[in-house]
Amino acid sequence: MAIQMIRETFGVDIQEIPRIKVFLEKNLVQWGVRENDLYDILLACDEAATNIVMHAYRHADEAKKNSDSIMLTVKKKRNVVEVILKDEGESFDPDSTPAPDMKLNLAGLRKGGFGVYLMKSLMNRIRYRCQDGRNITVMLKVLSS
Amino acid sequence: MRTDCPAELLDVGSDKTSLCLMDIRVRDLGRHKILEVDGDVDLYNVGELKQAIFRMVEDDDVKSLVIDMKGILYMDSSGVGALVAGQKKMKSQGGRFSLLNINEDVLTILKLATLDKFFTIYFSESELEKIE
Repeated sequence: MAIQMIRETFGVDIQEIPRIKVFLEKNLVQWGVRENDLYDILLACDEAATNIVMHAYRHADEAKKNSDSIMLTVKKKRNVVEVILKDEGESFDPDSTPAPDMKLNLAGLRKGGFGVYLMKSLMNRIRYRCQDGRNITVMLKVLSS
Repeated sequence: MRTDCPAELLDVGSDKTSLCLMDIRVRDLGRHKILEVDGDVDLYNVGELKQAIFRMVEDDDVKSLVIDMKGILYMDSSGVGALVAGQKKMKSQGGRFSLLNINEDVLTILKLATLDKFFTIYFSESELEKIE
């Protein structure tokens, strides 16, 4: 079975988050991805892109943000969807982020970690590597329907 | 209030424009102030939701704030953060904060975060009306 693939680049800006979701949803629906699987992939990708904008580029100046981009590649083969995000911000390994402790978070003693936790919970596998100055986040979802 | 989607967000060939619109209305139900939210909540528009919640929280006349989430079919961690901040602030002022008509997908996210017990959640207005 042939691999279906789409690729698009987006700016490093929070305004791009809805665009990423619209682009992803449109294509995944065309590929027959439905219901819970669709929601899980959209949300995991949203969290990954949010992390790039908020963390990988938090120290970047406007010139770098304007010249860089987030490259989104999505592939589907049989019942597996693979989402790949590439950026050139600071390295950010989701595995280095401890799971959130809601008691500490709610008490204001700890911030964040929930987005990465969601990504790991909603997808079947998350891989990260930094290669030639690029962050590459790969997320796999085995479709249930 | 309405956040209109910038035109450039709509040029991806999809007619599903609701992904980047948020519509927030306010109404009263007995002693409860209801904030009806329609649309997806993500990092891009979460500021609108936060602003609307905190405007109500800071109103001394509002003793019970209810977020009607029937129209929220999608919410990311930034949206969850806005709800947590709203609840903490409201409770610190001695008020009541609750969620109403929460979508199953969004409830799953709250459950993953073990926040479904943190929030008071009502599944119908009749359930809410019984609360004094």
